[in-house]
Amino acid sequence: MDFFLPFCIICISIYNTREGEDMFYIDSESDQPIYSQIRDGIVREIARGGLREGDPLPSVRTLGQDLGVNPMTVNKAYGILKEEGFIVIDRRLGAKVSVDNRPQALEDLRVRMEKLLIEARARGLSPDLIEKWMRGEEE
Amino acid sequence: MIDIILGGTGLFVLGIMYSQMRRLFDYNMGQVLYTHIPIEDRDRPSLVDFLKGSKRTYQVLNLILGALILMTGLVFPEKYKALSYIIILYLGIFGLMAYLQVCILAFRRRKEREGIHVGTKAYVDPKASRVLEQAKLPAGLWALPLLIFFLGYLVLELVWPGQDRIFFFVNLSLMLSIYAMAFGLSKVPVKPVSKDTERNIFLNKKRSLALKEACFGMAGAYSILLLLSAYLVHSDPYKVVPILGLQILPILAFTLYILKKNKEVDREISREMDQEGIYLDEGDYFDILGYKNPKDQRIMVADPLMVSNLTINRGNKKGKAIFYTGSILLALTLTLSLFAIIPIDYSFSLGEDYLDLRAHLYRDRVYYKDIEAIYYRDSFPEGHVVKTNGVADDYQANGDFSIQGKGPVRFYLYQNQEEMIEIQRKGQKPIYLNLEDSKDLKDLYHDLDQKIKK
Repeated sequence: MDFFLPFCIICISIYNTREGEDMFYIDSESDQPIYSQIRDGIVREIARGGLREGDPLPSVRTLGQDLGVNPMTVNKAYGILKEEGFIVIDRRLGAKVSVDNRPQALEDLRVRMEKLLIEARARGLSPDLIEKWMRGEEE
Repeated sequence: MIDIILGGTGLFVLGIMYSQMRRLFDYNMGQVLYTHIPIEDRDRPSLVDFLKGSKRTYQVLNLILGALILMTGLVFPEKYKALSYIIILYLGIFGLMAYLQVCILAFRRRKEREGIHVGTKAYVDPKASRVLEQAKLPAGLWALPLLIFFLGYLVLELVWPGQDRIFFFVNLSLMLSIYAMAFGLSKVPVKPVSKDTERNIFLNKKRSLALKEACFGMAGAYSILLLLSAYLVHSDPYKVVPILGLQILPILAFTLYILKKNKEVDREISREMDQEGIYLDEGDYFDILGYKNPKDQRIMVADPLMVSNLTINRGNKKGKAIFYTGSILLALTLTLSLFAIIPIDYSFSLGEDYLDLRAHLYRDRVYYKDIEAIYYRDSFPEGHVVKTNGVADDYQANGDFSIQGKGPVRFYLYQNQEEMIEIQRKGQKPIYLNLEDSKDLKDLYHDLDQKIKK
């Protein structure tokens, strides 16, 4: 776990400094379920800084229309995002970005990341290479 | 006159269709012939050659159809003119649509052969989507023009009772057509056309929101214009200015305005996407019949090129059911409209107690005991005539009409015959009928006269 903290800091700094492209896409041919792609897309936008704390999200109906998917699929993605502490949903005002860094959420993230890093070590990848990947540089 | 009306309408429909469909052959918002092509591939010689050739053929087909429409007036006899115009226009439009569909499918096959990636992605700019969602007019405000329209009609009915019901329903359907246009625009998805969210908001606003607001303005203005036309028609039903000037011309001008604006904005968006190198590879699900994507659960989908146009997703079960039911209904309507103008001579039979008259959908049984008077006229009564629920061309006029100074009447008339019989009935509309031959008409008049006198 010696480079867990630098990993997080670098990740956040990379995404915050990336310019433009405040958009994401879903791919209907992908094996990943659509709701999961929407969830990942919004998390990526939050990480990039395209969506900031307090920014309102489109309604499930509007996002469904713009992506060409059923509003129920968007609703499921929003439910997961709410559960994970990335957004809050107000029945009257709709959904907005509200990243809740509660200890449990951070602990879950740490466990997931730990698994990835263990796999990286098991494959014999050097910390330098992983850092390069994190910076978005070519191998 | 029929040549000007039908020929002009045919050429107008053809012109509008041509100007809209021609755009399918131009690279627009990452698409050509409803097929996504990456910017770097759009200048491939094989694709360019295909597009050039098919566009030229499409232009030639349009020219041929235009010439056929113009020639119809010269070639066909008076009796079959209306029918010929309509059949040529129907066949021409269906033929052009079939040709475009063939082009789309052939182009997609070519794209596949060339190894150009077929996309399955859908893009969104969540921030732009939200901003535009919030900028929409409140739903309650949309009720205002309809409220003005209904309240206005209520006042008209209270002050001048006996407003024409058919005219009311025509006005209502015109009002609702503006709402349908706005509804179509509200379904246009917000698409990221730039890497900059502000530009996305600006351009998408121009593409759908601004046009939707124009629809709202038009609905407001139209509610007043239509009320004014109702008042003018009530004061003098034989005036054409209220119908032409206040009903037809405004909606025609507005439709052309929307099409022109849509074209301008699409060009601007295309330029922006070209400059920024944005390419939305969202899959090729659209064609000339609409949209077909089994993975999309939506039933109505906004057309990416024809703004305010909603198409049915015939890829899922519900959409398929609606599409095929709608197609059958359309075919029935077209067949019925053709049936209504087939030049079948009206028939009559003189019975012991009554005279039966029959022309297409119009039927009358005139009992001799109900006839108050019968006249043989050498010419048509003076005064303007308006069609209320009738069919008329240069050959025949059948059904309900209204003559200035006489009121509602029923016609069974050949247009090339000046002479006619006028039958006045107790508490019912007078009937005007004639035959192509004067001698036959005079014989009929004498027979009728004898029967009545019995």
